[in-house]
Amino acid sequence: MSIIAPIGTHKKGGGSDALPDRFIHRSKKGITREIVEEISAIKNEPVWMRELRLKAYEDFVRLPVPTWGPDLSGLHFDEITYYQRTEEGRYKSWAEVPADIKDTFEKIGVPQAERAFLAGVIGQYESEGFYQKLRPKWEDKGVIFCDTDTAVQKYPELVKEYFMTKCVKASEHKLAALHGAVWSGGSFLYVPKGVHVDMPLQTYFRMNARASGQFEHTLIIVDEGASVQYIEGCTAPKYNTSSLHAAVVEIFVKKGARARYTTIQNWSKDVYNLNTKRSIVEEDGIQEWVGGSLGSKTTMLYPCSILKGRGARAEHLNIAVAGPGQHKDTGAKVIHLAPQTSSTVISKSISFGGGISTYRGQLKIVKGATGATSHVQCDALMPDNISVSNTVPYITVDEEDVTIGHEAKVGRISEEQVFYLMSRGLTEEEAINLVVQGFMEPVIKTLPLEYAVELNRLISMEMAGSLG
Amino acid sequence: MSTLTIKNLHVTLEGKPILNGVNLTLPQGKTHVIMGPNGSGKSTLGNTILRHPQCAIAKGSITFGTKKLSSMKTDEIARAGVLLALQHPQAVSGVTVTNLLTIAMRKFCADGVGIGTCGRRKSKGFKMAHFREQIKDTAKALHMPDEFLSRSLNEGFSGGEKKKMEILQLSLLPAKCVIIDEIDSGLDIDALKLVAKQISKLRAHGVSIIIITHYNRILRWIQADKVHILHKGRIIKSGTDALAKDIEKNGYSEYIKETV
Repeated sequence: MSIIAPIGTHKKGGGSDALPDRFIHRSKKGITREIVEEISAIKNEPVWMRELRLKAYEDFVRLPVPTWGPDLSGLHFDEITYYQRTEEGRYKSWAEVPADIKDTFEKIGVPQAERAFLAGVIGQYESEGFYQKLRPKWEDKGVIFCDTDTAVQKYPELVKEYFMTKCVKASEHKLAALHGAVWSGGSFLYVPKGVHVDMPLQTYFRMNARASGQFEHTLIIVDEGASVQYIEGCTAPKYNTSSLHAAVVEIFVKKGARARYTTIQNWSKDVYNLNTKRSIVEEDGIQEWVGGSLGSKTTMLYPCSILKGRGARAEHLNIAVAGPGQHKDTGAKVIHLAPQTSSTVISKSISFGGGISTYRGQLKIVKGATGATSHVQCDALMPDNISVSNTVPYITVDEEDVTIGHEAKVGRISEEQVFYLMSRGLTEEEAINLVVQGFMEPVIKTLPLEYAVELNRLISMEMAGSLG
Repeated sequence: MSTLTIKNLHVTLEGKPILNGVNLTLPQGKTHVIMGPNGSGKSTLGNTILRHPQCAIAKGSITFGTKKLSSMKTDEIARAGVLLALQHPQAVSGVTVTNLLTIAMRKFCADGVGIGTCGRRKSKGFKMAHFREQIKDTAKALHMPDEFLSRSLNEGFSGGEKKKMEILQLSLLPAKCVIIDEIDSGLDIDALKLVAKQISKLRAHGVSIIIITHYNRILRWIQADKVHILHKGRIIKSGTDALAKDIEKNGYSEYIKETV
């Protein structure tokens, strides 16, 4: 039924970025009811979670592949390995983490970040969170921050109530269903009433094995009057077979609470990155989404805010970068269900070298959501003539007493602008990078410094040599 | 000490000949004024010295000391100390002048030219905090509110504000030779005085200056060593600032006639 690989098998010649496979368990390719049961059994899950998985599997079989967006015909569900497990145990301190995993994390800046100011870190290497720590200060206040598998075991009441029950449901679409069936890892975060976590909590995901899936489930509950900032970074090295990342993020922002969810994703250029992220915001709550989407072959990502309570607010900030062969279909969904709710969406995209970026947004204001306001701004930057930028807004407003605005702009990097900056001593590449950085600045400035630096660096690297 | 030498310079713009054999010698520390009617090629001359991609050199050469500017790239020319205040500075969204100057200054320092022009201080190694103070001081000298230092460069600026921003940048980067293109357009008299004062400061520090202008009013506050009249892509007359005064009084027609 499964392949047990020796720990620390070194695979050479798979590209310099390839790391040893550290699997102690790897399910066979494809998805069947047996594989779903096997995953649940290995995790020693309670019956309710096993039932949830199996029900989701049925939905997966039943539901069609979505065809309203980018082409997903290169995605073959039966060629993907849905679950693999690395070495047993978690590492409580940085010192215990094996050297090669450490190297990976050091490359993406985790230890410095942690030392500097992070309140807690969970890293997910393949499918299981492998390292976690939360500063005692927050633990004492009742903050829970662990991987979601651990949460299933330790906090079953909370997980059972919120996990794919009222925010994102497995029956919604094929990818959500697949996720429900094979999910593994992710972060669970609970912030009790009135607690303000004033340092960002962060986690990293890295997909390392060829043709594998990553299906982490992140569940965040910010109780009344509490606030938190959660940051997630995702990377994957380059392999030649298509992989799938289908995450689900569910956030509950209770009355007067505030959540900021920030993610920088840099997937390998063969990954299908198809996510479902949603937040339910109660009275006077604030949900902020900050996202930077790099890499991947095809990305579909539309963080959604359901403004359920009076005065609830959503802010969406997103940057998508589409280079050669890449298709970024990203945007935002905001549903205004109550009076005096407000939303702002700023979406920035850069398409170059023939890349395609599409802003796909949905704004819905129901009857009775009086005084709702919404402003959507889509800015596209295209330094060449071979790339594509689309804007597809869907707007449904059933209430008259609302204020809405939608702006879309497409900009180019002009020769005059580059000359101007070069006349101050910057090289052509530096000049272009500066224009690009300036374009992204409204999003970058909301990021912690090391993420801002990293995002700028990644975008420069992506674009290097593709312009001129 | 570097002399800017322009020899028999022929330049085309989109295939059209604009400069038809310009000769000019600007010794280090001198201030030359280039005047001329619209379309005479004044801005093209400034842009060509900085190797604007649209200005194609058909013939001739531009040298600065031992450096052959005519075969260098724009950024290399800038880092050699030859800077241009543009007639139409571009807006750069999300980038502040402080951003740009600190990035530029690091480049200059990496090339070993880390001498701030404004303070003319030969600092060993570049001190960012000190540089930021210099930026603020220079802005103050130009009566520019602090908010201009943290706004997107030139975005939504008035014509006059853009011009001040150009002089601010040229004052702070380690310039040896500056070309100032139509700095006086869009400036009211008070602003012009402040800008002229800043240019005089550069002059006092031994920076070579080329002022490109339609009018001589800026020369009330800046002492020029030579005035040239450019017409149809050639320097048709050179003289002292008396020439500029004469043009103000009688216009270009008399000089232009001579060439017909």
